Order: sequence, then structure tokens, then C-alpha cells
Amino acid sequence: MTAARQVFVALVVALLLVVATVAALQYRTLHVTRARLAAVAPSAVDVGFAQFMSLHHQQAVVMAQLMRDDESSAVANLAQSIIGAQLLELGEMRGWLRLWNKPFFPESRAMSWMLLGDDPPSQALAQYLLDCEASPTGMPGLATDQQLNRLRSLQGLARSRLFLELMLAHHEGGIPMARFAAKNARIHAVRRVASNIVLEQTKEVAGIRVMLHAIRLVPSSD
Amino acid sequence: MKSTAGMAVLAVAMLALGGCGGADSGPTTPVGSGGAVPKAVCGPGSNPESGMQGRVSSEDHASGRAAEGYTCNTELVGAYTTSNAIGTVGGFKVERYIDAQGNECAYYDSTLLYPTNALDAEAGVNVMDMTDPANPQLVTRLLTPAMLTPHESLVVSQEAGVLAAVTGNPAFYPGIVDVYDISEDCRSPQLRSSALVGNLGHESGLAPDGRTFYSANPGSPTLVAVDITQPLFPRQLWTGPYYSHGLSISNDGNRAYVAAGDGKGFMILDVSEIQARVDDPQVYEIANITWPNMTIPQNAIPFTRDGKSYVLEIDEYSASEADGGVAAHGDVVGAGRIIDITDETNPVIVSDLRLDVHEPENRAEIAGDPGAFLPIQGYAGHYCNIPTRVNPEIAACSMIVSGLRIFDIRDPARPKEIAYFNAPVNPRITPIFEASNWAMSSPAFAPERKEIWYTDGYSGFYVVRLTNDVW
Repeated sequence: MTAARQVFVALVVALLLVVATVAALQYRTLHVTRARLAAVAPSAVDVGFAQFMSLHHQQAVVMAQLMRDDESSAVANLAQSIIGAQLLELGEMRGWLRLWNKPFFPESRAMSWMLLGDDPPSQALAQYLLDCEASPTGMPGLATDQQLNRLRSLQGLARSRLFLELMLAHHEGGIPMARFAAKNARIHAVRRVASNIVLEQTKEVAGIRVMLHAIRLVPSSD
Repeated sequence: MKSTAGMAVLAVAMLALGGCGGADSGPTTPVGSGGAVPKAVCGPGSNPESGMQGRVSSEDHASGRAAEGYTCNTELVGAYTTSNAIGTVGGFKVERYIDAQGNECAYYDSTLLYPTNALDAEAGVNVMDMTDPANPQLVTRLLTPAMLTPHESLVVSQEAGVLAAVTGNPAFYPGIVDVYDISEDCRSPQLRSSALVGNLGHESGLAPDGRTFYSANPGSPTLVAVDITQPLFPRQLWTGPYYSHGLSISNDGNRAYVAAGDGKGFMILDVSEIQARVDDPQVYEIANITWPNMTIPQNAIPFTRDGKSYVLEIDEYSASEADGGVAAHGDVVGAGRIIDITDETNPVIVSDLRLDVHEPENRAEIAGDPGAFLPIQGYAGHYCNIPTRVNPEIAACSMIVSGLRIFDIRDPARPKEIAYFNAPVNPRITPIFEASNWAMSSPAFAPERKEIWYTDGYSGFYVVRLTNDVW
């Protein structure tokens, strides 16, 4: 083989290698892009959490709005705090759902998305899902229309007390859902919001329990 | 020529493959040393833990051991406590101030969450006369809006004799900033203003000269600098898009050391234009750093040691994953760390302040202990403080269920535990909270008497002395 032919062959081989490398790079870029898209694509847990927690938050905001002018400043402050925090979270969740082209609220009451965790359902989770099925509102702690109407009809301490009882049940019913999503949602931002809900509502549950204890010490007039 | 051609092919191929590999950059975040610090060696007079470092087990509660409390190179000097609290009666900050006449005072917020102190006949910020540390005397309560619910924002300027806070709670409260003058008689703080200048409150910072109060919120990008040079007329100087939990201001007022929200970790801000009162001040981000076991950065305090600059940073609570938000007894515990900021553009973590109860491999064993599973309590860190910003010998940290822990930080790269005080656990009369300790406060120091003052949300205010010459 002549020297010129050797150089020609080497150049052809080099060219083929470059082409192959460029193709490999493009394939890799495609792979990375797909992986990145997959990382921000919601799982059924992300969507389920955003939809069901939106529903849950919406009722909390409605309840809290009824109490903004409560005679008890502690209850009014709590209500204002719930409105502020949950409207912000509701906005985040609706933003995700809009981007994902999903409805703001679930189309059925089925909580089956909570069966899609990394681990088999614990006894507590299984019980929570049974409670969801048994609940007239689809989620334990979600107030019924009758309860909300009763809240609207009461006044004074009785109104404060019913609000605190309803909100305590509401938070305690929502925290397991948030805890599940904090662990099992695919998207980091969803896990962050879910864990923040756990933190925020755990603190509020502590405050509500103390306020209820204080109200129960007051002789009832009803 | 054959070899030349071969080399050319190899070179082209390596160039291409090198470019391919170059797309993968390695971690840029330095990693702390990891692992718990060495356990304290407890001298005479101690009543130490018998098991895992920092643990108060169910067995200790059942046997009555937890009711004795745990001491290691510490002794209780005095206290102002509620023995069977219904709610929470200690808060997040303890401050010490000695006024122009020599009166010595302590200030502490009396709840972890307003109004969970009301049923225990506590409210606002307690002003304690510390003339006799063995017998702290409550002289008055500050009950203005921010003092009723300061959350984590109570702060004092030693230089100016100013006490300030902003109304805060875990989410949103309107940011009313209260400013008091404590310089003349610390026992009788004089309200100078209570104004809506703090946007959304939660935590805070105060320039050491007492002229600039920072109202901070980790959940909203609304860091605010408030000019309190004329305490009667506070005014906003600047509002910036920073998620800030606690922040400490450098001695010259030109740097803010921020325990940042939104996944930023620890952040250094150039706030010199605010300090200099430049019109339309601009703030510049100098650096930030995160760490693999980051939970929620709480506060970062600057200090120097042998000419090098550091911050002591502490994370609150635990998480299921790094930067994943709070969890119930999560495996990831941020706890404390020392960060070298000698080159402020390149912060480097040099050591961790952690106990055995914070280590992932121990979490399952202690999950059933009282208080461990509540996300807002648990075996985790909350606040640290140091007695001086120049060559501090110790750091004291409130580590919630594990109580007050004291570390020797003379060698910042190799901190070690030297003492602890975990208060006696009395039963709860009402079943609102589980009976277990809740040490959440930034401690204060009386170095001349080797005292550390702190509060436990569960029981109140404690004066603890370090013994056996460990400090």
C-alpha cells in the first residue's frame, strides 16, 4: 500500500470515527433530553396529589374565609394564616396542572394514586384509603355541606369551636396525603410543596388543639 | 507513516470521546466530614446518658430516668419554668443584655407557636432580671404585636441597646416590626415603634450597630431591610427577592450571612450599600453553598479563629431526602456545620456538628422514642450560638429532644462534644403534646460565670453552668 493510500484510508477511518462520535453524541443528547423530560413529567402520584390536595385546600380556604372576622383574634389570625398559605399552594398546584394539561380537580373520587408508592401500602395507609372510601366526601376530614352550613349559622364561641373542630379534622385528613406525596411524588417541586404542607399543618394542628382545649374550659352556653 | 496515521485516528477519537465525557461535570459542592462528633467525657457531678449520644428512650421515660434529666459537665443554676405545661412556654431566642447602669437582663419569647402559651398564663416576650442567676425574676412581659408572636425573630443589638422583632408564624403574618430601647434600663424596655414595615415575618437579622433590622421569611422571597436608626420612625430601605430564614450581619454591617430557603443553602450577600445608606441600594450575591444532608437551613453566625473566617450554620428538623422538606423522623438530618469563608467567594464546609441520633444508620432504632416522630420536634438540630465572634471556644446548640449540647470548636475542623444539659421531663397533664423535650432556642451566654441560658418549649427558661473546667 502506498503512503498516499495509507493516508487516504486513515482519513476515511478518522472521518467515520468522527461521524460515529457525532452520532453517539447526538444519541446521548437525545437520551439526556428524554431523561430530563421524564424527570419533569408527572407521575400518577404527582397528578393525583395536585388534584386532590387542590380540592382539599379549596375547602380549607372557604372555611377560613368565614372566620376572618371572628371575635377571637387567635381564630381570626389562624384563619388568615390558612388563607394566605393555602391560596399560595393552591396557585402552585393549579399552575402544575395547567402545564400538565390536566383538570384542576379529580374526575373521580378514587384515591388509587395513593397505591402507587415505592413501598407496599402500610397498615396506616390502607386504613386511610378505607376511610376515604367510607367518607361521604371522599376524603376523611373534608367537611360536608351540612357541617359548613352549620358553621355559617352559628355565632360566638360555638362558631369558633366548630371551625376549630372542622379544621382539625380537615388537617388531620390531609396530612397523610401530603406525607405520601412528599415521599412518592416524582417531581422534586411537588415533594417540596407536599412536605411543606406536612410541616405547616402539623404546626397548625398543635395550635388548634390548644385553642380547642381553651374553649372547652369555658362553660358552654349552647 | 503507518504509526502517524494511527496516532491521527487515535487523537481524533480521543478528542471526540473527551468532549463526550466532558459533558459530565463532577460535584462542585464540598462535603462535610460527616459522622457524629466524639461524645463528651463526663466529669464528676454529671448524670449522663447511658445509651446512644443524644437519646432519651421510651425505657428512660418509663423508668423515671428521663424525669431526672441528663447532665454532663453541667449544673442547673436557676430556672423559670412551668412544670406541667399545657401548651408551649419557651420559644426560639434567648438574648442577654447589660444596660448602662449595670442591670443584667434576659429576654425570651414564651411560645413555639402563638397562642399555645395562653393556657399556661404566658404571653409575649418575658423580661427577666438576672441579678441573681439562681433566681431569675420575671419583671415584665412585652405584649405588643410582634412580641406576642415573634416566631424566630427576636433579636438584640448589644452596641445600640435595641430589642426588635417582627410578627411571624410558620406561614404568613403581616410584618409588624416592634422596636424597643433597652439601653437605659433593660428591665423596663421602652417601646419606640410598632409599624407595618416588615412585609412577611418569620425570622430576622440585625446589624450589630442596631441601625438596620432585616425581616426575613424562608417561604417567600421578601427579604426586607428596615432603617431603625430613628426608632420612632422606621422605614423600609430595600426589599429583595431572597428566601431567607435566619440571617446574621457582619460586624461592619456589610455582609449578610443567610440561611437561605429555596434550596440555596448558605448564602453570602453584599449589603454594604444598605449599610452605607446609598439611595436605591443594590444587594449582590457573593456565594452560596449546599450540602448533601441539607434539611432547612436555620441560621448562620460568623466568627473568626486564628485569623480565618468561618460561619457556624445549623439546619432544622429532618427530611426524607436532601433538601426535601421536613419529614417525620426522616433519615436525613441537617444538624450543624462549620463553613470556612476565608475566601468568601468559595465557602468550604470543614466539619459537622452532629450527634449519634442524627446518623442515618441509627434512625430506625430510635423512631419510637417520645417526640421523635413529630415533624416539628424530633431528634434534630434547631439553633446554635457562640459566646463571641472572635476566637469562640465553644458553641451551644439546642437539639430539640436531645436538649442543649455544647461543643468545643477551638479547632473548627475537629469539633467535639464537651457537655450537655437535657432538662427533666415531667408528665403532661393534658394529652395535647407528648411529654418530651423541645429545646429549640438560640442560647445566650454569660461567659464570666460560664453560664448558658436557653429555653425549652416544653418547660421554659434555664440557666446552666458548665463545670469541670470544660470551658
